[in-house]
Amino acid sequence: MGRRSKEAEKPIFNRLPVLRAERHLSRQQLAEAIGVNYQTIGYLERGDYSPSLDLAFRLAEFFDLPIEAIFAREPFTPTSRQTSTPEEAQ
Amino acid sequence: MSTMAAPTPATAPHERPEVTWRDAATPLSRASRRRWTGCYVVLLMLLAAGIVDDALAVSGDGDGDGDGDIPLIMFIAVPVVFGMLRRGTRRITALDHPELDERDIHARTSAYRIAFPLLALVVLAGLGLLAAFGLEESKRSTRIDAQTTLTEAIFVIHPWALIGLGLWIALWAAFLPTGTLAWREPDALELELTADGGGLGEAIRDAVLGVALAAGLAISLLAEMDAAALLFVAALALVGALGRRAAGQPAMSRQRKWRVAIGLTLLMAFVAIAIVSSSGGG
Repeated sequence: MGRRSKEAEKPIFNRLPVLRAERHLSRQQLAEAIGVNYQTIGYLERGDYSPSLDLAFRLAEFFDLPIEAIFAREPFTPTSRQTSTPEEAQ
Repeated sequence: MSTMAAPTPATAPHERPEVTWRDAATPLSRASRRRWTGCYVVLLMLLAAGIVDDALAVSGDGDGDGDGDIPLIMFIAVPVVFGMLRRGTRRITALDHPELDERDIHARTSAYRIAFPLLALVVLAGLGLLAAFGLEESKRSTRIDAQTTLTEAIFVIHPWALIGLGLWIALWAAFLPTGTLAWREPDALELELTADGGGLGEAIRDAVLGVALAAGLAISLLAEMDAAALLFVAALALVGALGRRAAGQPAMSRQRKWRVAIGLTLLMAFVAIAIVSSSGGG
């Protein structure tokens, strides 16, 4: 099995902006807590950079959530749709 | 599970750092960095043209006729443009390992990896230039004659040509990793980007600096005067002054406005006097 090209790699989606907003954290504060540059937080949020497993675990520990609650292969369902009832959705 | 508790909500906004003309001139968007990367390559090619022309010496032939001399503006523009790119990439290639996080290290590694074969091309191109243009200079020396072949002549090349080639390759070696980063790094984050205000946009700033640089080079080459370099410096100062407003600086006090206005007036007067005196003397 050959290596996948960079373009063929599937994107990794994340909920970092939502989680950061819920906790009223700036990028700088989150970056200092995780031990990265604040630009890296921004690039993660924008999807310009996919984190290493180590960084993903550090983020998961910081937010006290499993990794799959922060990162996913498919786009996350918006919170507004998650909280609406089936009747409202119709 | 968690060993790191979430900190308390932010209470105070981050203070913006003091913004200088260097910050204001630093390209933050990838598009702007790509423009200046191209500009730097052109500057280096012009530098090579200046080196291979006439006496094959960086300092020119010293006879004062301007032939083969490299305008002073080149020696100002090369570090300025390189410094802009360096700051635009947060000097990732220059920082020590502990100051870089995993993304920075990955970016730096890939930049060096891409820069290496490019440098090999530059070295080969430099050797080709040396063989092509250095031969003429070598023929002027008494050691070889017109029957000397190119292969033979390259071994008796003028020492100045070798020094010039070494300097040229060293400039490329320093620039290529930073240039690769400047070309590949994504746009800077919103926090770094200038807030919307009354200042110049990045495209306009690039245009102002680019026009000043091109005009300075053209004037230097045509009129053989180095006062054109001051035009470029004046444009940098102007972009810096306007960029400070765009960077979200608090409004200047009346006293400070006067100081800035007097400084700019003096600078422009200095440029005008230098131009007039150069044109009168030449």
